[in-house]
Amino acid sequence: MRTTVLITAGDARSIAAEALGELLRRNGIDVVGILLVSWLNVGRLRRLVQQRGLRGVLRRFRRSSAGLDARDQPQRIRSPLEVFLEGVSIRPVGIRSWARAAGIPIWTVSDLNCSRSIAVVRQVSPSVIAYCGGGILRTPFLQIAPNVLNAHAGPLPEIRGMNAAEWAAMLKLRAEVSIHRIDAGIDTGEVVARKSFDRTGCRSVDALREQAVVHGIQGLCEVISARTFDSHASQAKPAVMSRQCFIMAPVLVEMLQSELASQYCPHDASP
Amino acid sequence: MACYRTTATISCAVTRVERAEPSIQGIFDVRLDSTNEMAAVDEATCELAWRCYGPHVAAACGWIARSERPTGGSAAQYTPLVGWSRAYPETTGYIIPTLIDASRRLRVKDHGARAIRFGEWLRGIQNPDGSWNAGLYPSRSDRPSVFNTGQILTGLVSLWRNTGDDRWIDSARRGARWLEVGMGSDGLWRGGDYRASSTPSYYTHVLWPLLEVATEAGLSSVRDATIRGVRTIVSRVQTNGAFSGWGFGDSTPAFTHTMAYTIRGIQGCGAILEDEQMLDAVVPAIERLGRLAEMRAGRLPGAFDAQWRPVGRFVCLTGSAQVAHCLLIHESRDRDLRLVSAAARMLDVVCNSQALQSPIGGIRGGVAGSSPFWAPYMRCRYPNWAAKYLCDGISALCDRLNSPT
Repeated sequence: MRTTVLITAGDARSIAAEALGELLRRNGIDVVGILLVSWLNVGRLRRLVQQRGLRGVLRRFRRSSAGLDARDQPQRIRSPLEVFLEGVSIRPVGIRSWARAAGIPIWTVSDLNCSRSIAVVRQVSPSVIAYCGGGILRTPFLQIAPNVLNAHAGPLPEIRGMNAAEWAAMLKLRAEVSIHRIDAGIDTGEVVARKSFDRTGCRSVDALREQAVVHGIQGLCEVISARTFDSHASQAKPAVMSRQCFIMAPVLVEMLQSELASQYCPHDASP
Repeated sequence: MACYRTTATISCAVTRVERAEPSIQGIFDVRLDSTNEMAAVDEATCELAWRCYGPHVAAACGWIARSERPTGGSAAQYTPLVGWSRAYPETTGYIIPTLIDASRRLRVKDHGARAIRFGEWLRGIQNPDGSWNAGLYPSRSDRPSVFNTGQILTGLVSLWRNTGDDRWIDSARRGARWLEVGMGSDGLWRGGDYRASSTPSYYTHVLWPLLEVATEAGLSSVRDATIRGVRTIVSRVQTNGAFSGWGFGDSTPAFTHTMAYTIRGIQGCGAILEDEQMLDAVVPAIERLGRLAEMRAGRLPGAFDAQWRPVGRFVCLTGSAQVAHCLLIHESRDRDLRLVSAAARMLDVVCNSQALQSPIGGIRGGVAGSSPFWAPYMRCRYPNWAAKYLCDGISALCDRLNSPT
């Protein structure tokens, strides 16, 4: 049976969504569309401000802008994501331009749980949805789309929630990306694959996050290409869920940053 | 966020905010001198956390120094356009251990000397029956207060532990005896207090210092009555983890300030009694508060109803600092840096509200009652207990971050 994939994107500049789509296409997988969540959404902005605080959102926006500028500086040390993209010969152009060039339909929605989004999923009826951001998925969406896969940046079930790569490092747990099926809980769906990586190749928290993103893209690509999500036996959920992770406090991020810098081993830098 | 904003080192901040003055107590000098080396080690090993948060402690202690009234004690609050209030015996009492701790951490002896001055002032205004009066000083009524007396015991016990001078424990013993006389068979006090018709649950914050005095001074009957009191309040825990009667009024929403009083009192008693069941009673509430804060970037709502629904859109800054401290105490039993992160994010919100550079002495280093400033808890005022709880929370956080994970 032909595998068809619908990809979600939380941002028109989502490199993960674009890279995953491109790699899947190269593997002969039929990418049937992109569900792009618009930033012009009051509810989403409100949730973001609530989670990160106004300063956090503004800082993220500034960092994002600064990051784009920095990519043009030739002397800068390349990040794990840049090394990976170069290795697979992908030059990100933005999800809209990429989709247009590849002839893939793109639907912009206000929210992944909105009626338009659900109608798109019904219409396209993909064999799997690859989640690359766009907010929490609610039950109505998940009911019509049982195969929604996510690359979670930490080991499950130990590390649930946000900043998973950082929390796994902070709590001295294994560096691992978990490819799991999304269900109604927070990172409680069954794990269909795990992809380990070496943390010593990350000199900073940003590099650690990017390393997890790279392995997440690779993991999703492997699982979807081999169609292992179909055959995976369902697992029993642990009786007691681990404590949910939230955004790490800045003082802990700084401590982690120092620790990563002190353990940095440049020989293992490439993903 | 404290870390990225702060550029001054702790030593610079201390020099700028507070200049050391000669201490007035010889014995206290010796004690503080003997701990200086330890303070230096702390600073070296806890460099990162202390670099982030130390200036906030220094600024808050500078504010407390300016709150000292010429007639004695610390002003209850500073109100813009109005100025400093009269001294508040209740909070002057529980600020004492904070000043002693800050004196060591910041290596500023003046804070230790101030702690002793506060203690002497409190001894001077103690009623002949051992109690202290309600409200600010000088008091407009002669009504003794259970709650105020309890909070003052905290300071006296701390002074006794740090100086070994018997006059502190003697004064505390008299206060404890007065409190015992008013206790019923359930270990609580008859009649109401402030806006409640019966003993509120946050009176665990009286029972805890009372238990400390009873333990230190060997007052077995006081100790037994106190244990009964804590158990009575622990039995008020609801299935959702909330405690009935933990607000100022009988059926009004509770500020996080009094919720944290309740929790901290039980934690304090549980630790002294080594009673795991007592400590477990507050776990659902403290975990819930931590989670609610995390979901809002550390901006814990300032008040809740009995069903944990936030009331109003404000942060009770004092309450947030207190809850952060309670969370860190809980974390010492259930080691998990995720709880530490929640506490740090709450403290970051409080630190961000603190004006470190204001030219106005009553604002610089002070912590407002609420954020926004005009919100219901201590509306448009800088209470001295907010500065105290910020210091306590930060000290606990730095200690935790300095300990092995």
